[in-house]
Amino acid sequence: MDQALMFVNAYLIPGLVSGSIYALGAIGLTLLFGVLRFTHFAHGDVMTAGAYLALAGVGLFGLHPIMALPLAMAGTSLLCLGINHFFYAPLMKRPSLVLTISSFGVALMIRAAIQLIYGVESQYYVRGIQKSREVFGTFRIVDRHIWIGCSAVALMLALHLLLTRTRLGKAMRAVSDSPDLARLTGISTTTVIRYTWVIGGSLAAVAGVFLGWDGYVHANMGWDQLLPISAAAILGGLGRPYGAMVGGLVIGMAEELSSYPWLGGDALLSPGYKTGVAFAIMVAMLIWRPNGLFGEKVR
Amino acid sequence: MTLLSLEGLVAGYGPDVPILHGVNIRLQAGEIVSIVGPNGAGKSTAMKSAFGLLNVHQGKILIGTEDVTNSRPEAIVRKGVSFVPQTENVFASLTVQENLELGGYFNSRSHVAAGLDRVYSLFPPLREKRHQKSGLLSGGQRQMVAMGRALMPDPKIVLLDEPTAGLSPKYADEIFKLIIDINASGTAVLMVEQNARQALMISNRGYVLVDGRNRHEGTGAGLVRDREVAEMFLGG
Repeated sequence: MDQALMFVNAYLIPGLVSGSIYALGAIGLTLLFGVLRFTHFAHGDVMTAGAYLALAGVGLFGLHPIMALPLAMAGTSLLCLGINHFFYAPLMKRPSLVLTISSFGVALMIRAAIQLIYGVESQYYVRGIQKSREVFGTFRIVDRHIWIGCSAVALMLALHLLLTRTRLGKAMRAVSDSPDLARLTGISTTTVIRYTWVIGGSLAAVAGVFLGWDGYVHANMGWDQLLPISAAAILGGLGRPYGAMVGGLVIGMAEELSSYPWLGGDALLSPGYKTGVAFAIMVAMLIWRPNGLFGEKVR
Repeated sequence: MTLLSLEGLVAGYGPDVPILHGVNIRLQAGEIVSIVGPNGAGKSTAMKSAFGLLNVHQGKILIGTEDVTNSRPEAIVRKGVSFVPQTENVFASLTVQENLELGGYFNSRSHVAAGLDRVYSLFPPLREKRHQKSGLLSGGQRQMVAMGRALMPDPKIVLLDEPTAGLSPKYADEIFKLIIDINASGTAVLMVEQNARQALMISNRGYVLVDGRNRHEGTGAGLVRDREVAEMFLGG
């Protein structure tokens, strides 16, 4: 029984929490890839920007991290629209590699700007140890994990409804499917691209806030997430938002479960190798299933 | 009434090398018009230029009396002209109904509902398959989805680029019948076909292009009977 409790509290819940965070980041990455056909390497730093915007809300107005989410989402959306307008839009006609490399530059700029404003020390939304509550009279879970899990599920559901029920969502899928045909159909790709930035940026902001809430806020926090969220996006198949949701959860769980003492005694892998697990999964996918778990078509 | 005219069009894919060297094409209300000619004659290019997909170096494109030379496809489709490309003409990962709905992207909700009714009664097999991904359909049914998408805004003109390419003769016959139906419902059709004889048979008029220039024009039946046209590419 103790063993099962430890499994749930120390591996399953943290796995689900980081899986939700990866999923939110990976969805943005994959939506942007679908519509713009390049990998947005600044996406991790967009997450960081979201986390710091929420920190401003928490610090200035004493907001609860959840209440600071709208502020972070709105600010990050504006940031994304800005970088799209000034950096990516002028390069749209160039090979996608040019965009990818410029996104590295954007990543450095965002990170440097944050370090200039907030410094390089770690910061916290909430100080002190948070109490956990008992669920079903057996295992314990802290409030923020419930918030993170429920919000992630709600946002993914909202995204699902957007993609399948609204004109904008269908247009986004159409541009991702065939940009040329979308133009012939009268869909304004420029508008679709802007909305994709707003959605991808907002989800990244939420991921950043959750990441900061579950640990600390630091200028490198998002950059460090780039590997697992890319792995999640590739696992789900680039351009496929549902794949990214599953991919995020799989990567999050795999990272946590890799350090579970499956063979008794010690951890199977030292938790220090967590990032290595995501990297290994990504490399394996790129070798054997480059179109992702659910992919069939090479683009 | 002239719905669409290309006047002395010199155009190409880039700003320099023209593929069309002065093409004149006219489409009147209620007509089916075919552009035929040997490979590389610039048939598809001529039609694509009417949809704003090429660089026009000289000449004019008119929709009705409005000059739309150098307008973008997004603008042209809003003026009542729809284009069905030869390949990549459906959103493969979207369902049949979603493809059709996107055809009415810039129309009101009620217009879209009316459009769906119209398209489903023209292409009954699509109604049964409306929740299937269009990428999983057969070639002929895909062509129906592509044409249905183009018909959703209830355009005055449909441009069809090789609508029967790659289809079995049975499906090709079906597509030609559907083109007649579409035309009967009041939409003018301009098409490019390599299946020239069949296309000309159902066309009011036809244009023969060779090397990016007009070579012949006449009634559909007249061109089919023309000895020179026949020898050139109808296969005797």
